[in-house]
Amino acid sequence: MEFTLLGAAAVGVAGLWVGLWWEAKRGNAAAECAGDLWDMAIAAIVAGLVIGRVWALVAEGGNPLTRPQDLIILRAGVATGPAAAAALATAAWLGRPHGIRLVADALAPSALLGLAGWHAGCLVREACLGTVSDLPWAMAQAGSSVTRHPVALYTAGMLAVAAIVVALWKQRGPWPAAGVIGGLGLATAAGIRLVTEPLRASLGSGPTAWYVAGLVAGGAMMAWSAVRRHRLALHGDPP
Amino acid sequence: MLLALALVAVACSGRAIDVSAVPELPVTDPDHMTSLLAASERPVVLNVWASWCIPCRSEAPLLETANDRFGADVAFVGVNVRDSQDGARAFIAEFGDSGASEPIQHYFDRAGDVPNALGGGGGVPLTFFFAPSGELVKLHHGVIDERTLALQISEILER
Repeated sequence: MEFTLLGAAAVGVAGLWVGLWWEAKRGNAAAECAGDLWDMAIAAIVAGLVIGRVWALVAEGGNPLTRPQDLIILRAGVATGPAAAAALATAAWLGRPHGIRLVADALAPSALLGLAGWHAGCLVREACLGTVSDLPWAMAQAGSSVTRHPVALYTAGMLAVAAIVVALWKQRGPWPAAGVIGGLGLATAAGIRLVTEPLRASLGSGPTAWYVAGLVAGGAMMAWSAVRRHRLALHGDPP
Repeated sequence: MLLALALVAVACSGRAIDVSAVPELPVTDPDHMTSLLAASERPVVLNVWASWCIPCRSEAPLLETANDRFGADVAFVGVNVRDSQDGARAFIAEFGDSGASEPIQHYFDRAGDVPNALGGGGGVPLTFFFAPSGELVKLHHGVIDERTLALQISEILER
């Protein structure tokens, strides 16, 4: 029972691995580059978990210095927004030698597929259900007649479709400016979580502000990358 | 660096715990708790905890938040097991100060007979979700997260 979270995490990591493998096979990322991306992504996930757990613990009134053992109880909660921000910052830091926008583009489809896997891992955790629904595909908990939105499966499906669309766009073109794919991936992930949030069970309002911030940041990255290429083209420099 | 500074700030800002303000917990046993649950007209969230249990510390603020939000419709009950009165009171002094109009009602069960009788086994934390009149709807083993707690509260409210 206690290890179901690890099971869901394993599904997420498997999604990330499949994404990188598929990208490398299709020529979207060179095979030798895929290894670097894998290392970067795993480091980003670990950094995100640590920061997200510290954030959640402090927000609950806990003290990570006087009770550091509380940090290991990941199951008690990881703050989604700070965790995502920390993971992105870590990936950006590690990706500096290659160019942050290129790394963001290379990781975007795989990261979306990894997130899709994490949400699909709700089947392992028995944590797929959200608010009450009478829709034909609504599901009930074992022993219950109350049917609910399988909101985590909605999220997983939307993220998986987004991952495939983005990967196909990268492969077939027309090729956008460097950074547009990465920005699109960020905006898409945040947007999907934002639109599914009202269907989730929650004690409060949920991390909606963080999702909006992700949506805005992704959009800004796309716009900045496109404008930058346009300016470089006007000046006769290679994009 | 910012994270380190933030951690130091948090560590230095901890409030003193006034255990003397917390009365001794009333003692309970399986018969008493079963009759309480059967007589309840509201759904009940029953959390089994101990002051030495690290995961219990992590979920305590969450239960206080849930009690703030749903306390009018759901009765929140805590059962302290295999612990001392002093340890239990110190824990409540640290975590049980959310200012809710109806605070969580905690009981003391030194032997841990109540969760055993309810079918929970020996581990902590445990969270039982009961429909009105004491029908067990869900038993959650281990530390509970916000989404699961919110979902199961919704489930017992819908019954």
